[in-house]
Amino acid sequence: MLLRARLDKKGIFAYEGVMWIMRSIILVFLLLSLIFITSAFLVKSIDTRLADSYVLMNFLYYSGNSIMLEDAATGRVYPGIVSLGSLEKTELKGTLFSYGEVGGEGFIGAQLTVPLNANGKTTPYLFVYDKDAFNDWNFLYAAGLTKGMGGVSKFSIAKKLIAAKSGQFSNSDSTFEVVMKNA
Amino acid sequence: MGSILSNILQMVKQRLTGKVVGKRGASTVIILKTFGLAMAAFVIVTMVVYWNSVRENTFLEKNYLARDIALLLTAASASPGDLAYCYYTVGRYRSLGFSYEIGSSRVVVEDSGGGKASYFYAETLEKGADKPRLSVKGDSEEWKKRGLAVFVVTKTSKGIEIEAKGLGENAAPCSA
Repeated sequence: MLLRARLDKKGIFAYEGVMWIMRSIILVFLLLSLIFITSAFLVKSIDTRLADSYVLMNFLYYSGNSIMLEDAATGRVYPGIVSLGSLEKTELKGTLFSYGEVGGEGFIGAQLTVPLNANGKTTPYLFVYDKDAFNDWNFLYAAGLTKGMGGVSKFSIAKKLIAAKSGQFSNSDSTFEVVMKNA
Repeated sequence: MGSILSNILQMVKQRLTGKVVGKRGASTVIILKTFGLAMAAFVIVTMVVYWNSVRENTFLEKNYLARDIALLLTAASASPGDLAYCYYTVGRYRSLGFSYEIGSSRVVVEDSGGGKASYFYAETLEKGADKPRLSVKGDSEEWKKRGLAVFVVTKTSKGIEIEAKGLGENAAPCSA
């Protein structure tokens, strides 16, 4: 006000002109800030990866194509007893079921480790869904890339099972690990 | 009266300009201040329009439906025996008139604006097993008339099927 009181007519116009340019720039910044703040709090998706992990685990354990021991004579399935000799290959993708990934596209990588304790030694048996995705994303998880887009999340579910192979049965502390990309 | 009005005008000019600069100077400053008010109004209107578009967008709803239905289909595949499950569309999800494409391990949910959300579900690779296939255009005249009420998911020894039923239609074992 004091400055403007000392200015003549031309000075006031110049002063007002410059001030309004500054105010316009500040208003633009204000507008962009409000938009960014709103976008930061906008929820566009729901994280269902833990649910996906549990559903996949149940698919392996309890579905019609499960890895559980099946009595060939009666057709009875024994949930909780994993038949380690039931699959010729331990890669599950494209054998029992699939999420329909095409090309190099990956959706979920999973590994079930079932240790068999027999003859005084423990042998881990692995069932893997999408080995490439599991190994790649597991590496990213180990490297600490867990936040934001491009990161991965890992879920481990422990379960006590009975491992069966060639007539031998043993208690087994299985671990089901699932890695998925952040989306 | 005329002198009162001219005194008021003089006070307004003085208030706006800080000093009496005369009619032309006051007009220019008033124009600049009006421009400022117009800028502020522009910011307010832009924010209101933006927040309204945020309120009306359906990203979350489409993502939610795609994931929910995909998890349902995978869980149905994971079940040990036969089952029938009713997935009701209620309230806002029914009124939004989404389109659904289910098949080839993908659930795609789309709205009339063209935005879509998709999610994977697991399919068994048993030969000859039925696999879920469905295509519903929620914004079509047919479905606007029928009113999408429920998805019926049935799993039998033959495989998994998913059907869409309208309001009041026979959707046994569900009630539409």
